[in-house]
Amino acid sequence: MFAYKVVMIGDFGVGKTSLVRRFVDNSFSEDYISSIGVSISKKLIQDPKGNSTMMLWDTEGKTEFNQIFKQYLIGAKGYIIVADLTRPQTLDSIKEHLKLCLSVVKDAPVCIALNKSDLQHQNSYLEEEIKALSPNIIAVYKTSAQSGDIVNEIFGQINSTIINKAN
Amino acid sequence: MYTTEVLPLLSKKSRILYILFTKEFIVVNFSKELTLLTDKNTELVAGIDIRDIFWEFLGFEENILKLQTQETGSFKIPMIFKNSIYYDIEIEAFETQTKDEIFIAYISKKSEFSSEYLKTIQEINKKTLILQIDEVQHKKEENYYDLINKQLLSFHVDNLGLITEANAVCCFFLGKEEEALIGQHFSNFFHTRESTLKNTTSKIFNATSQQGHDTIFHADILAVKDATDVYKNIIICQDVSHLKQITKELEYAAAHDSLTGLPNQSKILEKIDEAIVNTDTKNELFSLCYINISKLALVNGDYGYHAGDMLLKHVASILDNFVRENDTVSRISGDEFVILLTHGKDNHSLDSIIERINLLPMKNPLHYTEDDTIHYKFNLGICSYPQDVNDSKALIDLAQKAMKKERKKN
Repeated sequence: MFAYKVVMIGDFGVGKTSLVRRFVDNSFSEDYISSIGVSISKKLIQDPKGNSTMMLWDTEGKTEFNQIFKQYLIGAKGYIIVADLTRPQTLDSIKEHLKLCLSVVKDAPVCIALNKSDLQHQNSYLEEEIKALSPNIIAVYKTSAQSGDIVNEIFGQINSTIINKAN
Repeated sequence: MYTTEVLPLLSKKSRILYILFTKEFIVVNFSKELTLLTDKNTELVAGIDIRDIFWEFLGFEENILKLQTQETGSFKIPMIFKNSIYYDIEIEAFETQTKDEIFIAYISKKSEFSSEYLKTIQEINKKTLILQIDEVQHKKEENYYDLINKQLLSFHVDNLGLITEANAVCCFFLGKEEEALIGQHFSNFFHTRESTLKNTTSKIFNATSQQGHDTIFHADILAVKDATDVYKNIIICQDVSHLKQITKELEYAAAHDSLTGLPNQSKILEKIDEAIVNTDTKNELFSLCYINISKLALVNGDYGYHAGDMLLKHVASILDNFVRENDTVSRISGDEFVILLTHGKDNHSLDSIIERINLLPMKNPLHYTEDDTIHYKFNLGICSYPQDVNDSKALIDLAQKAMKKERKKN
């Protein structure tokens, strides 16, 4: 079965781990325990075109003091950059994360998850504006790990892009 | 050769787990203790693809190729979290006697020290997240209060301090009709140290809004004569609660380093200024010891930023434990610390203190994992007041220069 690596990156506290938990075992916790290092989850994806296994690298978020460790990004077939719609500074970081991802795998497809869409937020960030940052960005979604909104869609999108590319 | 009993023995002794595998990722041999890191439903046996059990190896294909062509010497992935255990993986290539190319992955578990460090980082991240969310919330509240302040809260009082008029904002804030306020003493709603407004043009009030929020107002007090020649006071209030709160938080953040919790450069400059005053008035001498950690960049590069941060926290902790009550340790930049050493009336003990600081790294190496110890050294620069220079910045510069000279020698 085709197995591949997808890396989740973003600032700390944006909900990377929550998105993974929602996608992998459909669970959610309100408690915030920041991830340290990287944890890897496996998800079998069934598709009429053929089943595949996604290995999800849930990396530690970038903070003022800790940059994202580049080694974690190596060998990825795709990236999901996560930002928090309620914290503008995490949206500003998307550009920097994108640059880092593409410096490691320059032709990798990238999905952007604007997470915590269930919370009150300002809509001033235009999805088109983010999409224009790079042709590698295949989709920009507003997600909610809390409600589960658009979570399967974003992982499904990155999966089908990677599968199509591999074929 | 590699399947002899020597490798398991060495592994057990050095407490590093290992997996041997081919360039096709087929498992050849491994430490039996690796079952700690495998799922219950999977079994690690020779002959299977390592990527089926250790998912982290998926995506390493290009790096394995680089090891094979000796483009790189080794390849390391730090801080992998699995089954409640943190571990690092380091992969190297070697050639067997039969000219087979084999790869060895060393797997080293994190020590107890790491888990304390991890808890600190998680705590810092949690607090920072709350602060960031609060900041966004503050902004929303600021906008709300800005709207209120556009049309300022105001009320009038007579000579006795009884309210004679209240504007709509005042009524809205207190959740009362104007009629209910008129005739009441202002101090029933706006609390201040003295309940009189005589001989003053401004005051700070504390008041509670109808929603129960405690609010701090800066009040301008204007004494005016009305049409019947009777004096009254017009009070115009501006909400300054946010400024107070933000000032408090900023003051702490501006003076401390959040990783180590030590005072930062601006705080140590303040402390040095205080020490200068003490020397000039009470003849209490002091010195500065500027410390640079010799290998931080190497540690960051070889082990990852976590290890660098652990080393900084470790050094901060040993320095803080070493100094006396009246001394101050500060972190002033990446790998640089300054200690303000106070001496009382004489500084005869300075040389012995410096000697003991120099020995601290040797006595306290960083036990990164159960099996991996990180050694480091200090480069020190010393200067004393008032012998050398006479202001706080110049003292730090001088101590830094001395440290750089020392570093060059080493």
